[in-house]
Amino acid sequence: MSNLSELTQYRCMIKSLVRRDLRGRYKGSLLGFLWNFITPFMQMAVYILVFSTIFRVGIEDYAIYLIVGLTPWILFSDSMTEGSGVMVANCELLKKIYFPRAVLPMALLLSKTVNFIIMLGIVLIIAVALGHPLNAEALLFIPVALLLLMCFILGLLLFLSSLNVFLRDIQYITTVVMLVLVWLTPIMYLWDSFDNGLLTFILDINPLSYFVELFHQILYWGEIPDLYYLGICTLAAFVSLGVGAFVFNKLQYKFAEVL
Amino acid sequence: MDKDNAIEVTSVSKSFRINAGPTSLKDMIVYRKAHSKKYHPKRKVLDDVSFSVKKGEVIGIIGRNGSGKSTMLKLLSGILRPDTGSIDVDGKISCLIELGAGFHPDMTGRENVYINSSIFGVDKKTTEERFQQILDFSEIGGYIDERVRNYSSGMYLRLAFSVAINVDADILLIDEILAVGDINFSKKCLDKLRDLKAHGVSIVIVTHAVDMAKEMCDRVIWIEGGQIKAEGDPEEVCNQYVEFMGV
Ligand SMILES: Nc1ncnc2c1ncn2[C@@H]1O[C@H](COP(=O)(O)OP(=O)(O)OP(=O)(O)O)[C@@H](O)[C@H]1O
Ligand SMILES: [Mg+2]
Repeated sequence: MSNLSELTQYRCMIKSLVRRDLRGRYKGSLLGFLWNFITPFMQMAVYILVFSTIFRVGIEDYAIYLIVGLTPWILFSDSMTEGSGVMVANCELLKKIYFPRAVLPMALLLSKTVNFIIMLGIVLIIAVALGHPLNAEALLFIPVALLLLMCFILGLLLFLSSLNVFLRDIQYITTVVMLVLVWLTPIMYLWDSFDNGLLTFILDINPLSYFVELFHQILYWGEIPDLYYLGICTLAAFVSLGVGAFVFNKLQYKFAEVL
Repeated sequence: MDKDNAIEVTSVSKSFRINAGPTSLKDMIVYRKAHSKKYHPKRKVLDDVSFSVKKGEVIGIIGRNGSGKSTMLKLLSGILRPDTGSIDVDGKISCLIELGAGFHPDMTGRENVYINSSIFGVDKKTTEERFQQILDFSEIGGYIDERVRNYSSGMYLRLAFSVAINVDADILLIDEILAVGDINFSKKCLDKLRDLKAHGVSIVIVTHAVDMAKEMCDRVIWIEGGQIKAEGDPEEVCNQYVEFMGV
């Protein structure tokens, strides 16, 4: 509990780290802040091109389906790839200054969330532009879905970033897992469009499927999300946060020593 | 905890595993043996150390290279945790353990002042109010809007020190960084430290400059072999230390 009250004291540090991340990252590059969006955009454009013209996936308004699923995916995978190494990347800071260690993964997640929100705005604009019907009531559930996803990510970040201090492979393993996981989450295709038992099984046990589906329901299908999905996401968020915080608390006092 | 005390250190010990560092999966599997505890013996850096710092007191810590002075400061600031024993602190700590820690080389001095203050838990508005004060004290003038990548070490010190003394700390921990300032700035720092002391701020300085320790400190602690070898009057302890070192 004392940890939590300390974290609120350091919210200005979180804010300034987020600002530094968003503004400082591409300092000196010509397009600066825009680089935050160029990569995900290219990713979306390529997927749309490949899947709608080459493979001809028969999903109505496929572009919308795809970008609705990709937006939370990008939040997840960007946070994971970079976040698992956040303690190691900031080792100078950790060794020389005292601050609550959880500030680092939190700031990273928040800065990725800022990008997410901007992308979400763009997705909404595209949906309107293409005449895809939106349901205002369903849209109200976006903050809930986002909050659950953020808790889920934060738990994983706490877990992975602290283990990575002791075993540097974690960071690279995470990158590889993300490369594979994007195909094992219903982003490019519909969840139930297969007869393959193994794939269906993997989709079913992948917690991220439920988060992505939450966004599909809200933005693509224009429905108020099922309690079933909401329930599973809430459970996943709590388990992840619980385990992450537990492991992090055990390991955090060793960071400055080992790094 | 005694209410006159700002810091109480009680029987603190700290060991480090030698070469403990991070591992990779490959090392873990291929060199399994090398990762057993036997191959990483512990080195005891501090052994059953106890002392206290009163409010408004200036304490100097001296000792040879590798005697555990910086480790002590890191324990006080909370960066490290003691293996055994306890450290009680009353008040907010500001620490200057290494020059430019937390400075972002690609950002300007101005941006870094805000970032660095925020790392000490000060909000943006308060830093804005104090910005002029920080800038004036540092005397780095127009350099404030240049990237700190190209600062000289003295300029780093000026900015870092100015920030650290402007965060409303009750306890200031300084690790031999003052050495890189020129004579003007060193004098200014020492005057400022006296001023802070007069306002009830407790200060712990690690230094190899024996003369400065004699001049500034109310009490000096000499650490040798992980233990407190002598503690007390600066003049006396420093002379003992100099004699011991044989110079
Ligand atoms: N993270 C660490 N892991 C292993 N050993 C460490 C670690 N930090 C410090 N040590 C060891 O602890 C001992 C004391 O180091 P410390 O930095 O406290 O010395 P010091 O008194 O500040 O020396 P100096 O005067 O050179 O600054 C050294 O032997 C050092 O090798
Ligand atoms: Mg030292």
